[in-house]
Amino acid sequence: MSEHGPEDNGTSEKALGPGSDEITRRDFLDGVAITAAGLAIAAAAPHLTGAEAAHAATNPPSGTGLPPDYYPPTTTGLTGEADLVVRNTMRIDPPARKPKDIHSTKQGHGVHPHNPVHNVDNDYDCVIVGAGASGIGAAKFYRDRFGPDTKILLIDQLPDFGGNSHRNEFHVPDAFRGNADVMTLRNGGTVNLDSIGAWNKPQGGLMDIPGSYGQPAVDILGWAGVDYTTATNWQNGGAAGIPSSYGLRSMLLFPAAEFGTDHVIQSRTEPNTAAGWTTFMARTPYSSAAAAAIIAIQTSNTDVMTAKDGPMTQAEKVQKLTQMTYKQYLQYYWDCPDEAFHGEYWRGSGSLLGAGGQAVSAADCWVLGRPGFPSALGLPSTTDVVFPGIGRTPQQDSKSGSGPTRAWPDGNISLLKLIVGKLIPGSQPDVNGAPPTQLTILQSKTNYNVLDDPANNVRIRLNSTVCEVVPAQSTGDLATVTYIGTNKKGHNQNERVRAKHVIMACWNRVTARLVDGLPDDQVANLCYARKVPLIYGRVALKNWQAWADAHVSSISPRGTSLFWDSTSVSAGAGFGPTGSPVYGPTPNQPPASPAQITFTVVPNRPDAIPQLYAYESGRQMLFERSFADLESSLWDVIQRVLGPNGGSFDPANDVHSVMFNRWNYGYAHELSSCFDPSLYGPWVDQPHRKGCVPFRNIAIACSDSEGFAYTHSAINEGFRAVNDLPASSAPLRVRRMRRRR
Amino acid sequence: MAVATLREDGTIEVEGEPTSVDFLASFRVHDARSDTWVSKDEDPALWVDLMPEQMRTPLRWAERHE
Repeated sequence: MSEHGPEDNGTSEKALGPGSDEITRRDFLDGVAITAAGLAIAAAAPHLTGAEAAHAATNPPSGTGLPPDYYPPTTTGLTGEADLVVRNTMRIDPPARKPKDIHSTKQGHGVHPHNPVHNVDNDYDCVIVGAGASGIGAAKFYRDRFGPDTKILLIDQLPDFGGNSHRNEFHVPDAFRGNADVMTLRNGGTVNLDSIGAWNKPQGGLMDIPGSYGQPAVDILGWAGVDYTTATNWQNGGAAGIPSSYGLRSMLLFPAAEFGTDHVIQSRTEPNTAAGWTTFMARTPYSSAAAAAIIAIQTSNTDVMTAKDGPMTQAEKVQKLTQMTYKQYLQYYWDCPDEAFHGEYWRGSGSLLGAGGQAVSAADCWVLGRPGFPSALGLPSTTDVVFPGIGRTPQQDSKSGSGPTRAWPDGNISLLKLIVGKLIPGSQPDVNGAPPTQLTILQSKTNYNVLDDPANNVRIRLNSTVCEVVPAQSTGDLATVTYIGTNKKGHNQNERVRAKHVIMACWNRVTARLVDGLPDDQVANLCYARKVPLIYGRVALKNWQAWADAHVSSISPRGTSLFWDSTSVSAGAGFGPTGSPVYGPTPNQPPASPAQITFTVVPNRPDAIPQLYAYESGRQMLFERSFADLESSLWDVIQRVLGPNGGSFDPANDVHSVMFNRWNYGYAHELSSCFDPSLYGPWVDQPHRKGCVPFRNIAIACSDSEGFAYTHSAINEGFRAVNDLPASSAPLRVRRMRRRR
Repeated sequence: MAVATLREDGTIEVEGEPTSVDFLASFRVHDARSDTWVSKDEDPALWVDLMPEQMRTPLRWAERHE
């Protein structure tokens, strides 16, 4: 990289304030023991993982902003939000100590540089804070509105662009085939383009969102060359699974901590009838009371609401469901004891609703098909159902014609790579002599060294934590954006750029802390929602022999004492038309060949309510767990299930590499009928809508602004934010630049 | 329905239908001044002050009495 670092125009300013880093550094960073020299390098270069910092201690960077072989998709250890990113975020968004610290326009929260600030680069038309789906989409839409020659800089604190979309790329030697290199992919964050057919449909109900609001996300697919209508292009997406001939089984682990001794049993294979469930329950260690409740909830076609409360209309029943959590519903109407709730129903809502059954709405669980809502209740059809208090994800899922849902093996980062490839020439290299398509984008290895090339109109600057955004003070003035960047020697440096417009495409709570002068009520609205914490974990296995020997394909915990929500093995994957896939390896990989373990958790305490606090309890659980803690808890579960079934799982020999995609700040919060009263009012009065109004020459994007945790909503908010910006005719002031030495 | 009562000794008693008692006893209020989540045992007086407003839904199913 020769011209990729920001140019220092030779001016600097004094420090803004004292600032302090109160987070104690561990000797282990991202799970890797490193030396004092490594720690120093890690401190200087936040894009480095612990392993990279250890390596850099003996192999200093070449003097450019990014190492020549910089390629975050293959980063192992704690990816997603690495320790340094989390630390910087916590410095921006800590619990306030005093009321006046909730927001201060001067010397308040935020990362205030200790050292002089270097003014760098020519002025931009637009600086976008956050290079996730919302920011990248906003860059495209900004050019649409203000012209293709506009100068745009995206700044992101993460080591990669894409935000919560992240590619996990493994290269594992295949011992079965002469140690040939096998590349396997998996999404490290966002999974798919969900319910595309619903994107531009009116939301209806109290939200009153017109279908046109969702059109930009549909349009950008076409602009990026993505055909979602033709199914053959999406065949074989994701993990291929393992042929049934191996006889693998889904297993349940009832841990000793809650059930006396470990009980490892196969998941239910019996019929979905009362008799079948009764037989299944007899194989479990549940008490008779818990088993009886589970059998009833799963199979009894009884109008328990009428039986308990007397006659009610259909609307009254729905309304009641909006007012209670799923746990309350099961407790009150089904007499479900805690043992049964924690065993069978606590975890199942996390992946879609972001928290356990104790903190999510019973109505949303009904619409999403969770157990306990038989036809005898007389509830309306869940197809196209709308009622006051319905959550956005359940509403999207209930829409008729909401398909298709499409997925790349590495998730939505493939879409964002296609968009970035059109915005930044050369960033996504040709594949087989042709520009990458929606199929071949998987094989295009991003050239990170051109992302911040000053020759391009659109630039992406990674590993840079924005710490202050000051809007224009008068018409025609420029906004300034200050961030902690990395200079060409790999050291932190406080830098500042100026722009006609700024789009805040980062988390709303961070926007609240960073933008100088925001009105107090807007700050409060931006701070209302919190993010759902989660981990998508992936292990690259050299072989899956232990799983084959134990005849185990997946592990689901029961109770609340085990950390991971699910663990499963897959071998083989592909993408593209059957017979001519663009990505392998092919399915049916033998046990001696590489495989993957996938494991996830949406952490929260089982007694944590309301929902926003459930997120915070889960985030605390992530903060408390080191890489070693996460790793050992995974090996522990696997060995407790495979071992008794004849599988000898040895991490030292079987595991090639580990990726914990830790998202301390993951899904956007979707309002809940139980805890968010504003859900019952007009959409425009909900806190995230009141919070995202433009402020001077600054607009606010991010899926947080829609209260909807999807890539398409992030893109739509990017579009809305661009169109919130004031038109500006003020010419940019081009300063005479001095190159940094 | 469950009822939370701030007793003279400064503690909170929750009585009523078991499902609502379980819920109310676990509920944490958000103290915006410190941006923290407070349980009824950590700061009973603050919890009683903030709970009614933060638990508001169109049909209330838990109430606070003093």
